[in-house]
Formats: sequence, C-alpha cells, structure tokens
Amino acid sequence: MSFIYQPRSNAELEQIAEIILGRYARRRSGHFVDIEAIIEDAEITPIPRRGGLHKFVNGYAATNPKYIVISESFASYPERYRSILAEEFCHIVLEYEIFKTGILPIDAQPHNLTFDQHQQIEHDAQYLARAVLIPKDSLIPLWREHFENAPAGVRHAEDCRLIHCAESLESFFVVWPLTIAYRARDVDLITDGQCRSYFSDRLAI
Amino acid sequence: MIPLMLNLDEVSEAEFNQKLYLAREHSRLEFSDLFLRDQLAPARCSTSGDKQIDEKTREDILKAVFAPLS
Repeated sequence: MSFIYQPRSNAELEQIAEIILGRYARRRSGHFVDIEAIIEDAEITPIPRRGGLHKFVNGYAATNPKYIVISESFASYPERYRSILAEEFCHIVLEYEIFKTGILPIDAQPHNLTFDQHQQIEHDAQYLARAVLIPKDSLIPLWREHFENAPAGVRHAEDCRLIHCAESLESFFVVWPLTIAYRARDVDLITDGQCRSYFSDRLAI
Repeated sequence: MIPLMLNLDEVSEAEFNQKLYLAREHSRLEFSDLFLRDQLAPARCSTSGDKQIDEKTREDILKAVFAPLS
C-alpha cells in the first residue's frame, strides 16, 4: 500500500498544539515553553552532531522516533536550536503511527516523498512547532501591547512597527523574530503580504 | 560521579581513573557502537529553504552523523 499523508487544517493543528501544551503544562513558565523538557518527558533524546552535518540539514527526526539529530552548530543560538527541535518533535507527533514502527516504509522516506507530500508534511510540522513554541494565548496580547506601546521612533512606519513587535518578543518566547512573524501571520495579527514584505523577503534565512 | 557513587578514597579514585584511562585507550567507544545507521537514518528533515533531500544527501547526512569526532 502506498504512503498517504493526510494534511491537517490549521484549526486541527491549533487543537493539537493545545493538547500538547495541556499535556505538558508544567513545562510552560509564563510565556516560555520549554521544548527541550517536553522532548525529554516524551523520552526522546536530541543528539547534537558535527561532521559537517549543517551543510546538508539543520536537524532531523530519525527513523527511530526516540532520537532527534541536530547540527551542533545551532547549539549556541537557542532561538534557532529550539525551533529546529520543536519542528522535529512535531514531525514525530504528527506521524507517530508510522514512526512508532521504527521502520519507515520506502515510499514514506524523505527522498521518496512526492513534492506535494513534502510540502504538506513540512507545512504541518512547522505550523505546529510555532503553535507550541508561541502559544496563541500568549502572543496575541503581547503583540498588541508592543504594537500599541511602540516607541515613537518606530511608530511612523508600519514595517518598523511590526519588526519592532517581532524583535521585542524574541526574548519572551526564545525563538527568532522571523518565526514570531510567521506565528503572528498564523493568528491573523499581520497579513500574509506584511509577513512577506517586512520579514521573509527581508531577513536572511 | 562514579567515584562519588562508589565512595572511593583518594588512592582508590586515582587507581580507578588510571584503569579507566587504560580501558579507554585499549578500546575506544565510538558513536557507531551506540547507534545503528538504520535507527538514525533521516525520516523528516529541517533544511534551509525547506529543500527536500535526495538519496545522495541522505547518505551524506548519515556519513556526517557517523563521522568520528576530530
């Protein structure tokens, strides 16, 4: 039987995030979600590796779902490290039914996915990772507060004001501002156009 | 930690460390002693620009992961 990935709607992904955040509520401290502790609670071990791994991949969920391999080069920048770990954790959550077997069917292996499957799988894992790392109930009031109280120097231009919000919230969530901008788009705090123009087309990824 | 758990005195701890050193020199523990390639084969990857990996990259990833640390 060939591999089928059933894409999730954004509403479903938000629900899954709420379940994860509820299940690991003690790992949330104020606005900060301790994804490394959640991963540890789930008995998954991150394995930082060198060997030029970063040339090929930032990190990955291994075939055995007890392991996430991550390029050690990100270890000194928690804002990126945490996002990568969260994404890989979410891959395992979203496809646990096939991960739990410890054997990935040939047509489910990453190099054998169709373009659409790859896009859908990545979209869902990235969306869920953002929803877990940046809970909606924390982001919305914080974003509005920082938008309203933006310093005079950035109030004059929409782009400066939105960038100010994303950059100011980096320290609350410990994820990099681009990820915060994507999450702000996910929850309709900014439009897709604003997200592209002021963030993803502007920042080096 | 181990000397602490075993409640070793200074002399015994020195002896323990010497034997541990010799054991490590005799047979170094490698990454591949702990993990199998099949279990660490990439299943879902985070790449720059969300690029899908191909079969060659999959192999390159495994080579990098199992490369001895310099």
